[in-house]
Amino acid sequence: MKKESIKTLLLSALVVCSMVLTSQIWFNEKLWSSDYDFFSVFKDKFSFIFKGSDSDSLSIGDTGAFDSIFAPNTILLSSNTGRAVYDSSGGKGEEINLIINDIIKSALSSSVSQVEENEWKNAIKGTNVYADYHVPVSLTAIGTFLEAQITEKGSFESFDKILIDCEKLSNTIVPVYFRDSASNTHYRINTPFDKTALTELFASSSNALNLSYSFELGLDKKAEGEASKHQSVLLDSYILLSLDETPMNIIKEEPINVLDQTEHILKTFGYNIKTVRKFTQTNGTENFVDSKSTLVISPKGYIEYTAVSDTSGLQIGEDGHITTAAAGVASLIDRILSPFYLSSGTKLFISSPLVETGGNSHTLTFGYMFDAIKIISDSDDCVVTVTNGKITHLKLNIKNYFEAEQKAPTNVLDIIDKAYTKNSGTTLDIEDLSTGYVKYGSIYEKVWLVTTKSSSPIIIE
Amino acid sequence: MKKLVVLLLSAILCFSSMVSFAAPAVLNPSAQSTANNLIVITNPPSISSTTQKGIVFCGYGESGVNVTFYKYNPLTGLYYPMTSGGENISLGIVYQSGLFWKKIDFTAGNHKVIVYAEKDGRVQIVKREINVLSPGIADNLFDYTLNFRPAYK
Repeated sequence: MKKESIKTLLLSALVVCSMVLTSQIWFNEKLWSSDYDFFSVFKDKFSFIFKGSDSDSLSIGDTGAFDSIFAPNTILLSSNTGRAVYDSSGGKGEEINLIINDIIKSALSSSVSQVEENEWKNAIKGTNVYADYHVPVSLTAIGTFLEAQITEKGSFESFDKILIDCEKLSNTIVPVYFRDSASNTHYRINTPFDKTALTELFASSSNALNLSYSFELGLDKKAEGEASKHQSVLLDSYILLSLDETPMNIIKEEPINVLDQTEHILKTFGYNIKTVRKFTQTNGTENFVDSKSTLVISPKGYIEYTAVSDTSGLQIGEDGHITTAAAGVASLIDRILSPFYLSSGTKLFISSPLVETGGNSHTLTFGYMFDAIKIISDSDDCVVTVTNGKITHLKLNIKNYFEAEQKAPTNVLDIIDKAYTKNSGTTLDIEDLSTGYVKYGSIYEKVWLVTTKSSSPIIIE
Repeated sequence: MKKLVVLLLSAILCFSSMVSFAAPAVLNPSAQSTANNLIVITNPPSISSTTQKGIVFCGYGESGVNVTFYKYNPLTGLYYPMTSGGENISLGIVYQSGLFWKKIDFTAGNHKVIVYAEKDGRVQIVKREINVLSPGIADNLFDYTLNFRPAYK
C-alpha cells in the first residue's frame, strides 16, 4: 500500500511538471523556436484573442516620448521689450510647450474663423507666444494626441505655426492663430483660457533678443519705379532677422560603441537573446535572425530592423493612425537610446509631416539637431515604416555630438552681403535664412544657409 | 617756392574733400537733399507711434553710401548727431547688397530724426518722426475702447 501511494505521488508530480512545462512552451514566446513556428502563425491568425497580451507592445500612453518629437522647434515670447527664444526640449521651453498644448486642446473645441494674413502679421508684432513646428501637423493627429474633442473646423485641416495673442491678458478669451505655410492660410480661434500661466510666463521670461521679422522692417516689399534701383535683395516676410551677432561654433561627432548594448537593443526589439541566431560580418557588423525579423547592428552606430512580413513586425499600437505610429516610434527610439550617454544638446526631431494620409501605412523620418540647430545630412538619420500599428522597417543612426570650439560670431548683414556676392551680384530673392551644421571632414561647422527662389541654397561659412 | 605752393594747394584740396565727405556737425531743419535716390528707408514710416523703445532704421541703398543719424533739439531748433557711449551713431557704409539696418534706443516722448546719407558729395536727407509711448499710456488707450459693455448678453 505504501509503495502504491509513493508511485501515485510520483506519477502525479510528473504529470503536473509536464503540464507546467507544456504551458510554458505554449504561452511563453521566448521559448518558441526561431525557425518556422506553429505558435507564431497561430497567434498571428487569431490575434484578436491575444489583444493586450503582447509583452512586446510599446505603450502609446508614453506621452513623454511623444512630447519629444511633437514639439515646436522654435518658441518665441514677444513683448514690447523684445523677443526671447526657447528650445522646447528643456527647462522653460518645456514649460511653455505644456501651456501651448493646453491652449490647443481648449481651442480645438471652439469654433474657427479664417482670417486674412494681415491679422496674423498684426498679432505677431504684439505680445504673444509663437511656436513653429517646421512640419505640417494635422488637427486629427494633434486631437488624438491631446485627447481633445474637435468641433467642425471646415477647411482648417493642418498647421505648422501657432500664435497665442497675449496682448490683452485681462480679457477672459485668448485669440489663438494658426498658420498653414504651405497654403498661406490663417485661422483664428477665440478660446477661454486661464491667463495666470501666461501672465507668469512673461513675468519670468529671459533676456530679450533683438529679433525682427522682415515684414516688420519692410524688407519684404518689392520696390517700384525709381526706388527699385538699389533693391538687390528681397526677403521673405517671415524671415526672422537677428540684429545682434550670432554665435558660431564647431561640433564633432563622438564615436559610440553600439555593440556594448547589443543585448539591450535585442530585448527592445523583442528578441529572445537565448534563441536568436547571430551572424557576424568581417567588419564587425552583427546580424540577428528569428522567424519574424532580422536585425543588423553595426559597430558604427547603425541599426536596421526588417520584419519578414507586414504582419510579423514589432507591435507598437492597435490602430493605423499616424499619431499612434509616431508615439510608438518615439517610445521605441527613447528605449533604444536610453543606455547611451548622449550630450544634452543632441536631439532627434521629426522631419516628416504629422498628417493623416488615410492609409494604414506611415513612413516617419527623423534628423538630428544640436542645441536646436539642424545637422544637415545627405539622408535621414532615422526612417521608420509602420503598417497597421506594427513597425515593419526601421533604420537608425545613433549619433552623439559635442561642441568642439567657438568661432567668431557673425552678423546677418555680412551674411546677406556674402550671399549676394556669391550669387554673382544679381538680385537675391531670399526665401529662408537659417543656420545649420554642415560636415567638413571630421568636424561639423555651423554655417548660414541662404535659400533662394531661383538658385540652389547658398552656404556661407 | 613753386613746390611749396603746389604742396599747399594739394593739402588744401585733400582736406577740403575730406570736409565735404564728413557729416556736418549740425543740421538745420531746412537742410535739403541734393540727391533723392541714395537710400530708401523701409522702417520706420515717416510718422509712427510705438511702445517699443528700440527702433530699427532699415532699408536699402546705393553701395558705399555713408549713413548717420541726427536728432532734433527743440531748445535750439537744430539737429545734432545722435550719440551712444560718446560716439556718433552711424551705420557706416552701406554694403554691396544695399541692405542696411541699425537699431537705436529712444526714451519715451516725441523724437524727430534725420537720416543723413552721403556719397561723393551727393546728400540725401530723410526725415522721420517717432512717438515712443510709455506702456501705461498705450494700455489706457486700449482699455478706453474696450470697456463698453454690450446692452445685451
